[in-house]
Amino acid sequence: MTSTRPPSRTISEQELAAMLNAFAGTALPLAEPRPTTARRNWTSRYAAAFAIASAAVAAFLLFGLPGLHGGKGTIGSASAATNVRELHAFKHAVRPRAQNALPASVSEVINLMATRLGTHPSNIQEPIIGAPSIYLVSLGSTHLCMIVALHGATAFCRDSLRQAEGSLQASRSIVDGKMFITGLAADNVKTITVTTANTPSTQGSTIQARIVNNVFVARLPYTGGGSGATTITVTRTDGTTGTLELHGLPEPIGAHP
Amino acid sequence: MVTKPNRPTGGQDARELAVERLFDELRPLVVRTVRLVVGAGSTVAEDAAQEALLELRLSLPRLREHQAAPAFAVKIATRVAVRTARRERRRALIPFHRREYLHEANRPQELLELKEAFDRLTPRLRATAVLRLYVGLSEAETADALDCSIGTVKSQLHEARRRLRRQLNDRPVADSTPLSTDPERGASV
Repeated sequence: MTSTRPPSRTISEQELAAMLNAFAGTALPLAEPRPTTARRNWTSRYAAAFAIASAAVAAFLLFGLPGLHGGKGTIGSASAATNVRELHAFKHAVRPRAQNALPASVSEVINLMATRLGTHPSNIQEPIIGAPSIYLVSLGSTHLCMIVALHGATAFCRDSLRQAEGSLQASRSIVDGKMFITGLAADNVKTITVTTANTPSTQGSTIQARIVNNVFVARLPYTGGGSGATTITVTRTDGTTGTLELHGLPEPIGAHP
Repeated sequence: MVTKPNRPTGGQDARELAVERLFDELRPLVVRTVRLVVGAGSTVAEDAAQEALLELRLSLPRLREHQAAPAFAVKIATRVAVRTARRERRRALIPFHRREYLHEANRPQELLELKEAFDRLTPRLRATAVLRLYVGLSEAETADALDCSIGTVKSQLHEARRRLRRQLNDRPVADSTPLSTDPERGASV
């Protein structure tokens, strides 16, 4: 391959500005999707592995190796997790939908997640109809994706439920400017209660989330700018309860009090 | 068992409506700023844009002076974008300089080369260029958004142009290596 080097190229601010203007609109098909990526799942796996390893080291320091001096040397129970494949929604299509019958934004985000996870969607379900519409999609044999859609859509893909002793996996999401607590719940979850903390300007509130077919959703109330903790309480069919706390986002720098 | 949510007062409704309207106005600015700094066309950029929007939505009600909202939004967007771009560079998860989407829209070759070179700049240099040349902030406003001096803004913009020039002039000519597909990239528009 022979070639001649082109003349030295200079970059003016105008040229740079033109390029930025040309590419500012280059996006994914949705305006603001928020796919929970495989990378995030890896992050949580690393976090779980690190927690288990830390527990093992702590137990070793406390009890020594099991069998060395006759002690039992338990390392405590690792945090329980429920594989999404065990969920009813994964095994049974309750309200199956064809992908071509879905809104464009939902269809696009399903394709996006399928591409990123390297698999194909199956078992598309629409368990909750209303605002927001929530779709459940099984991706391959490992992930269950929940898509929260108003005009835009947001997707969360999970391979397991790790919160509240494996009873749920919750996320705060924002779709079209509205905030929701959404997530997947295990089959034995009876009720989910979301409690928002008091803020300087508003009182906290307690809301019961809607649970349909392993999916739960609650719209967060107006908080007057408060971003305090949100507590989720799970009641299971056997009467036991579990709690989970979702903390507020970090205070933005330069926020006006 | 479960209490009803507290019903908001009329004043709260009006405030919420005003905040939602302001949020809608600021949304394109935030999304596009984050996109350009992180790397337009990548899902990571869209993720970061969503993170910035969430942060902005939660903090907007505390903003007393609404005329300060654009600068406030840009500051949040820049901080989230630079943080994300630095993290992604460290992890090298995204091949910033190899994006299939660049060749999808019949864009001029020189523009594509410039975009590829721009994505190789450090996040800080990218943020400076985006704030000055795309968002249109003054040097003082850019310095405020980036928490640095005006002199630093000037030097960083100069450095960005110098590195772009060097990259574009030093690259191999007539490289026939095909662009690889970025597995992290979603579909593009």
